[in-house]
Amino acid sequence: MKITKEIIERIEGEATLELQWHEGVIDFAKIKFFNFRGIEKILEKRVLYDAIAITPRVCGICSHSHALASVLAIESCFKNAGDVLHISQKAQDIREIILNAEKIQNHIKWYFFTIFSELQKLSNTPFEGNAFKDKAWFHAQKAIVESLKMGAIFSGQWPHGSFALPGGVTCDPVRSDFIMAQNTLEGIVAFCEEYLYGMPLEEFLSFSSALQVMSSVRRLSYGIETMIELGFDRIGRSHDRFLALGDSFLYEEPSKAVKTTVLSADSKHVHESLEHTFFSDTHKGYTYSKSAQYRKNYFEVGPLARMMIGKDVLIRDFHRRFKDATLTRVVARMSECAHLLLRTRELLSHCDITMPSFIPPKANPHDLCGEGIGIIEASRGSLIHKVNVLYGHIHSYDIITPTVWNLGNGDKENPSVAQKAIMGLDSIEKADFVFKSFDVCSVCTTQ
Amino acid sequence: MEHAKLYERLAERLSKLEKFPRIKEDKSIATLMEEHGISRRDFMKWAAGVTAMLSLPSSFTPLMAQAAELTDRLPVVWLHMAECTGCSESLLRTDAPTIDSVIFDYISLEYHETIMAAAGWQAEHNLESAIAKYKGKFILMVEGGIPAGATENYLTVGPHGQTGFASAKKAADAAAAIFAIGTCSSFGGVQAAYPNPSNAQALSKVTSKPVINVPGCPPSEKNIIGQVLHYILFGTLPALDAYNRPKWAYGLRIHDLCERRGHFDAGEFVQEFGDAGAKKGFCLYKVGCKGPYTFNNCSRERFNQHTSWPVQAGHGCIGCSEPDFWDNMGPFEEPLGNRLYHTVYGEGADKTADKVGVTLLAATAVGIAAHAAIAAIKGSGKTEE
Repeated sequence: MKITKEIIERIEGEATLELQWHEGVIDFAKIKFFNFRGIEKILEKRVLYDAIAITPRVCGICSHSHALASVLAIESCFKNAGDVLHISQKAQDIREIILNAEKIQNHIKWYFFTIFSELQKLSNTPFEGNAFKDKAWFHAQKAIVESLKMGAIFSGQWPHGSFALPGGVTCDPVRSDFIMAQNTLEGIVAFCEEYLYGMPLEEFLSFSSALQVMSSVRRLSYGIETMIELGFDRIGRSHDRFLALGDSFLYEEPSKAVKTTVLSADSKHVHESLEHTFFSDTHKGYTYSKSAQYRKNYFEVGPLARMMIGKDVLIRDFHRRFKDATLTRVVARMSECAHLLLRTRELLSHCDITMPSFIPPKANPHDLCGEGIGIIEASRGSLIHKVNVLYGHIHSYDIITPTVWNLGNGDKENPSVAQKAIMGLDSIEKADFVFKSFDVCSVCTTQ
Repeated sequence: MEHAKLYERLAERLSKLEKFPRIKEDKSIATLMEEHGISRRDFMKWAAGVTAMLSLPSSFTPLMAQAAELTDRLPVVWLHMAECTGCSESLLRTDAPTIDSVIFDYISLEYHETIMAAAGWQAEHNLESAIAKYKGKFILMVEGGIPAGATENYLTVGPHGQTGFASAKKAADAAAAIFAIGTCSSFGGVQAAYPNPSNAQALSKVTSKPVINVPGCPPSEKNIIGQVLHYILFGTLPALDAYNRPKWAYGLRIHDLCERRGHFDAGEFVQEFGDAGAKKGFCLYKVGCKGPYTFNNCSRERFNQHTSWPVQAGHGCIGCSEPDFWDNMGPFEEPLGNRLYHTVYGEGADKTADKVGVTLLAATAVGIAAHAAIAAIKGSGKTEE
């Protein structure tokens, strides 16, 4: 048996794939992350609200998701202690706008700087895979900048803004702020329509068949065509089990899906495992990343999971044709981007600025005792923060990031989501691309 | 130095620099700008902005533009240590005005894990050959804290599993100038917060060479690119403060140029998040703003294309460009002067000040707290009536 080691770059941080080969086919893959900072340990004994400033610094690309998850966790502590906080609709809307801005930029960035350039590299063009050489880069870069600017109007900065607290948001935007945000959003929509979808958003979202998407000659359809040419419509399939534990406008309640059957889900069945990590065994362990399971099964989280649970007609059609192959995963993310743009447009135009931004909790946070859980649907999937608080100080803090769901390590008999997708492939290049289709972020995975 | 003389000196330095070969022969920065649709006019406007930021007279704008075009003579190696990639996000692909990132992408050598084209073994090779080829000539930029000592292997990079400590040390030894980008590589960062599980250290602990710190979590992209241009213009270290931060960026406190400063002086404070004062944009000191103790130019430069910054969004500054802000500045929603109860990082303002070792901080804390208290009786009371 041959074992090869592959370093995966051009992701957030660095990852290593150790591939075990059997007769030219990948028999098993170990996913390794060699960085550890110990953020959960650092949070212990700190004042509860410190989590809102420290947890965003887990990740530079989904920092606002972490900020919001920690706020939700603390709000649920208040609730469990008998003080149900009322979060005004305005504050909820602003939180969602900020979160959407983060997801939109992430999706565009991932497609234009990772997926698209990888595809060009794979399809044998004399192209080294440097996205910056591509003309569309400049426009994509601009759209990303604009997307973050739109969020920053409300959050103050990106990354690592301090904009949310238990009780609401700190900003008090006026009408002109919303007009500026709307204007900025339209710039991003124009970019996506021109370069990504090749048609108005509404038209794209009205589609119910994969063939309709491929009819337009733009970046997305180019990507789909190339993926089909390279066979990514048949490979990269995983367990076909999906999970979304946070709230989203795409579906009614947190759910799980096995193939196309959707059932409600509860975070109490989530189990985090230390297996294969250096923490459980310093000699046999091989990574710093934990793994997460739901009722002892690995579930995929992220845009594809959300779209499947939301029973999105278009993605269901892709799923019917290609199952949960790499192609479906990529299209789901880009399709979610269109949904997010429309949703944000709606939020910006309907937000009622006369409502209060912040309603302070009645209980004193320094006296708070109990537990709380906050779940956010971040760019890469369900992000869970669990806190146990004792007289206003953090007793323990647990962060389960989306990448822990997708990129954990199981066994050969029960592989994790990404492992299952990689097993059976016949080349390193394919494994690399399939791995990247999960939108890898090593800093979150290990924190 | 008189402006005319300084101008002459800088012009001379630039003309010398011009004689050096480009790192990539095929293209100049000017052609690159043109290709990306950036007009000369936009470029000059940008140069004027940077000139003002570095506190140089506006007549230096052409020099700044020339310096920007000469950035291709000085390659940059960017290393990632233990961090969140937020600084790269800040600079490379996100809130950076596109001119900054075009320049930066062009001058940065083939070692930036997040964006580089090559991967794995090839990447490692590129880094080594870049260090060898440009020995003593490149600018090293490091992002992230560096696990050291017994926990050194909490961070390993590349196919040979080299520790972050070793790779940073190796690169630092061969660099012409070393910039620590962000609070992590400047002071250790949040991962160095008590109890510092990975024993993360600042870059300055890894090398004996002088390190210029550009802290902030994240630092503003303006400060990063400004530092590069400053080095190209002057060829020397900028005036630094006690924590090796360039004074042109970190010379003033957030508080000094804060848009809410008038309210502070008038004694108008937000007493609680969500109150009438918050709606009116009053001073955030009493809800924990650390602007009076934090040296940075956020209040002037802002973030995300000058769109906003935390204080504008209604939350106080958390002091993220100060050493040990994670242990010294919390709780972030309460004033420093009021901290009386026990926390993981000690008790009260005086003890904090002791730990930081800056008496100025204590004096300021007490002074500011006294002002806030007096103002509460005199000012805010009146406005609320």
